[in-house]
Amino acid sequence: MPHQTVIPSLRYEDSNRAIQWLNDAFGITEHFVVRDEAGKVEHAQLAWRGSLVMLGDLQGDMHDLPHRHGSISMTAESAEQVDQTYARAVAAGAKVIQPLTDTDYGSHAFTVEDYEGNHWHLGTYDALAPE
Amino acid sequence: MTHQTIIPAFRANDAQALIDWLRDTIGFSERMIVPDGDGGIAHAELEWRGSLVMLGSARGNGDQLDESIGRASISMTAESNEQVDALYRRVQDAGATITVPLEDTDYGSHAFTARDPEGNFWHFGTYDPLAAMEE
Repeated sequence: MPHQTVIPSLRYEDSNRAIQWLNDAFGITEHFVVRDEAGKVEHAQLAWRGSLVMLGDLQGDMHDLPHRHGSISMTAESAEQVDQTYARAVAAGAKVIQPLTDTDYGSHAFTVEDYEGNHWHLGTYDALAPE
Repeated sequence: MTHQTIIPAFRANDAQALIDWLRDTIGFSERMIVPDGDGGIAHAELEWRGSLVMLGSARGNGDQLDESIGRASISMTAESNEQVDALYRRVQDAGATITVPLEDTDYGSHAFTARDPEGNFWHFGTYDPLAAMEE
């Protein structure tokens, strides 16, 4: 199975704040971040379980990319990881959209909204699991 | 290296038309399509180079996630310059809005950005941000 070639990209008012929040809430870490001399993020690649999400600042973005209401689906490695991440996301102030549940398609999952309105789904359902 | 675990998801005003466009123009294949029983798509998983996007029809009734329609921004890692060139021709032939014309970027990517019929942004480039993690 090749590595990720389809990568979601989000815009935030302040990517530095978002990077910290996403680490607090989900344990997503910095993979590659380009900052200007003032420390403002020009481009960020954040990693989690070997996949990436890209971030950039809204203001000054030359391509006027979309803001808020992004939606990301993440594949957890275990039910325990889902439980632990749910606890830390709620502790970080995430707004619960779908509380932790066992879905009818067999996923241990939840959906929360970050402080800028993007939705994050995490579940054990692995759409790319080998047959 | 694990397979993709962070997947873009979005809704569409006309999910079937968007699925057709992504298949015929970009070359996505239909990995899973779940109809909603009312002429729409409850859930679709489309695959390109071993990675996925997920999408579904707008739910209506003020459903909050419907606000994501046309707002997705997705970065696609191409396997070669030739693949990027071929996609650029296909996207132009399909009448898509090009937001960044084909160029060789200062970070070494052969790349362009275009919008699909719902307004979502698709960036295609040879730059592979995960290549270094492979080693």
